[in-house]
Amino acid sequence: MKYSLFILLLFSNICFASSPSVNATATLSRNRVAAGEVVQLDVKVTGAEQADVPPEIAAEGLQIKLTGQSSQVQMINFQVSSSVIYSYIVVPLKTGNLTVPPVTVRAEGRMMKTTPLQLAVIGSGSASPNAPSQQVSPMNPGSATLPSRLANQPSNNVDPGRLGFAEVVIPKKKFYVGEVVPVEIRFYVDAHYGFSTMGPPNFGGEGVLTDRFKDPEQSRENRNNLIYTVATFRTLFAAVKTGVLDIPPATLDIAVAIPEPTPVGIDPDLFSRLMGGRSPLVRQHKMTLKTSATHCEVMPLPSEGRPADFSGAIGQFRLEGSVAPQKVDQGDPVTLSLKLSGQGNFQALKGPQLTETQGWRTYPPADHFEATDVFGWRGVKTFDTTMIAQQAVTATPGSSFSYFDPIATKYVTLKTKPLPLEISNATPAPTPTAGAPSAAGGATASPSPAAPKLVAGERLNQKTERSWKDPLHQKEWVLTWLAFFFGSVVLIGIFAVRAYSQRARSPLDQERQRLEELIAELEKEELSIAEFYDKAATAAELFLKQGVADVADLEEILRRRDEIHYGARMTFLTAPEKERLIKQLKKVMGNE
Amino acid sequence: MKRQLPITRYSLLIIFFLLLGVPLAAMSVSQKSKTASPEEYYNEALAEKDAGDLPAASLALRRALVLDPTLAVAQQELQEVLSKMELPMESSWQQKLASRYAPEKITFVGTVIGWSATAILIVIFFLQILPSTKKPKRWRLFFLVVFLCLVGHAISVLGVIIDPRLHARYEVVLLPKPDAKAALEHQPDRPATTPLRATPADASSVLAQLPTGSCLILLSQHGVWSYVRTATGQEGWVASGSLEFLIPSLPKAR
Repeated sequence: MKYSLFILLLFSNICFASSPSVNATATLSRNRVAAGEVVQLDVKVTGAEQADVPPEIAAEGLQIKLTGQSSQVQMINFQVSSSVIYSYIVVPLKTGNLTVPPVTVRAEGRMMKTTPLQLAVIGSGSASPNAPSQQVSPMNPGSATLPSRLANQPSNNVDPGRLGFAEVVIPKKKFYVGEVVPVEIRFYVDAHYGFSTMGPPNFGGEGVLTDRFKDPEQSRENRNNLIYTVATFRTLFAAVKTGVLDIPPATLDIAVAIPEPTPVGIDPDLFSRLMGGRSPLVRQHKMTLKTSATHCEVMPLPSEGRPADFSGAIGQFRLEGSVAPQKVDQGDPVTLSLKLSGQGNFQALKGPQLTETQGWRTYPPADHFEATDVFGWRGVKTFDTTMIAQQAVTATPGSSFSYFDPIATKYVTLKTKPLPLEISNATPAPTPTAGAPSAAGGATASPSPAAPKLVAGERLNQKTERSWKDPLHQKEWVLTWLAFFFGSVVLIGIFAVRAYSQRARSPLDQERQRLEELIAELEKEELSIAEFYDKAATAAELFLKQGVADVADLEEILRRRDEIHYGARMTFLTAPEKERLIKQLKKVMGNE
Repeated sequence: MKRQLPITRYSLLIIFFLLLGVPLAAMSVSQKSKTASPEEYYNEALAEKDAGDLPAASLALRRALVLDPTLAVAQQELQEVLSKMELPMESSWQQKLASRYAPEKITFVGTVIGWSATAILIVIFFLQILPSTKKPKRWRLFFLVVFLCLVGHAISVLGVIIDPRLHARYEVVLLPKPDAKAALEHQPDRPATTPLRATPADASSVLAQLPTGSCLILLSQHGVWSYVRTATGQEGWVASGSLEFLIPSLPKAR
């Protein structure tokens, strides 16, 4: 009864927890900044795992763009809560008291708006009074870090300082705002002890956007003559504000299995064998591995030379275009595939802009990304745009894509040329570069004499009638099909029965079958002379009855049969003679 | 001893009707049960689109494509309408194949090939020309006919499978009526979404908000509530009055 009540309470608790309320809040990382600095705007949607937010927010004096998202699911006292945070980068374009407008969020079928936020932008050079100060860890990089809680515990001859340590590897410490940087966090644990992680690592801080951690890779490594088990976590991060960036130490909560002494009176070897070679008794030590803090310098993107179509892509990219199919009828859709390959912030990447789209109706592109490294930093992102030619064209639109190259420290614009297409029933499009009048004195090309093609958007005059029923539900169809099926079956059956009965009733066939059996029996070696001649004589009599042989041909067989039965002389049958007689009978049978 | 071919006048008559009757019967099937015009639905969709009622336009376009999946202009318009409503365009291999080759034609061609080959097979067995012959040409002909028989019937089955009318019997489009205020003002604005509920009750918890114009699979109906499955596989209850069958001849959900 007690357990039932407990389970009921637990179930009701879970049920209650599974229907949380949805709300959205917006916060600024700072509410007072100097001109030229950027601020992070976080829109947190609780009670939902996914939400629709605008990619850009229009605000006077501010440029606000979506840079990424992160989500988390928590379970506290059986209450599950999920939330997703959408991070925007806010760039002030002027000084003064500016307002971040309400952000419209759509989640779980509800539309919500966040409260407007105030941002004070003061003149350049003024420090932000409420900027949080970063606490720099005194730890040396690569040193072991254990919590004081564990350090105070008795450790049963296990040196906590040697149990494990952690380090963070960032390939460069000076990068641009919005640039994606791969980071590798390695957690080392003495290989003598088993351990399990208690959740993902905690990494990041104010002004840093981190991607979700990939599954850790486990390996062994020798450090200072001690073998360590290494759990390597990889992710990408980007800074959203310029200046000196202090990233707090990355931490990971783990539980280490510390062997305990075997109780008195129990053979430790036997106990160990029973446990499959593992230590018989272990104690779980909860501890936190911690890296050192990281200091980085974040540079702003240069404003000079920034292309108009620059949308925040930072890295090194290549752009290729292809179209399929290359030969279509006018009005049929074609797909223009634009592949961006290289390395950089692929997640926030917008597709290339199409140019020279006259004569085309284009639809929003579908994109997919294929990573070629473990970070998701390098890869290929493909944008497939479906287009339909609205008039006679001979080539697809071109495309343009701008990005900032942090190595060359300059903006780069990639372009693809229009790809040629063969469109049937289309009049040849005038060449855009042809400034000179045509040979026909500037006359326009005559339309194709082909039949007019149906064009989307125009009413159709012809009218065809079709059934709403598919063939399986059309009575005529089913009856016809069944009639043919059973007709075929009946016909096959009739023919089969008829052939069988003809074969069974014919006396000629019966006699022929009997002759075949007799000749087959004559070839058997175990037959006695009397039996051989009896069967041979029976066959001869059947042949004579059918009239297919003369008496003279078979007289010898009949005479020898009579001699064996009625004569006193011993009779022998040699093998050649037996073979000759069988051959003779077969010959007669072949004369039929 | 010469064998006599077991051909009778009666049997020849049956074979003659079998050979002649297959195409005739198949043609007669394609000529009957005509009840609607895809072009009329297409024109109706354009009118709805001009009036600003995109969900109703999408329903009419879907109906036009059920009747004639090869109607390319209807495909283009549906893609555009769904894109405007921010709804995905469903695309399966059956739809792709049906949009290129009319399922009715595929079924007809497969039926003619399959049953003609079946008739020839019967003739071959009837004349008993195979068991006693050692001529390889006849065996090759025999296997060719068997192959045609199997392929013909397989093509016929394929035509039936890709026919959108086969699946459309269970498909509904979410088309809630405009609310009273919008109706009084003669505005075609329909509610943007309809709640998908966990149980058939107004007070039930909402599993998801389904956008208007979504195509759903109707699993069962209980009075004013219908149990449906969305394109993502989510199942739940919606009000039957907000659903429209793709095939209008079916009894309307109430």
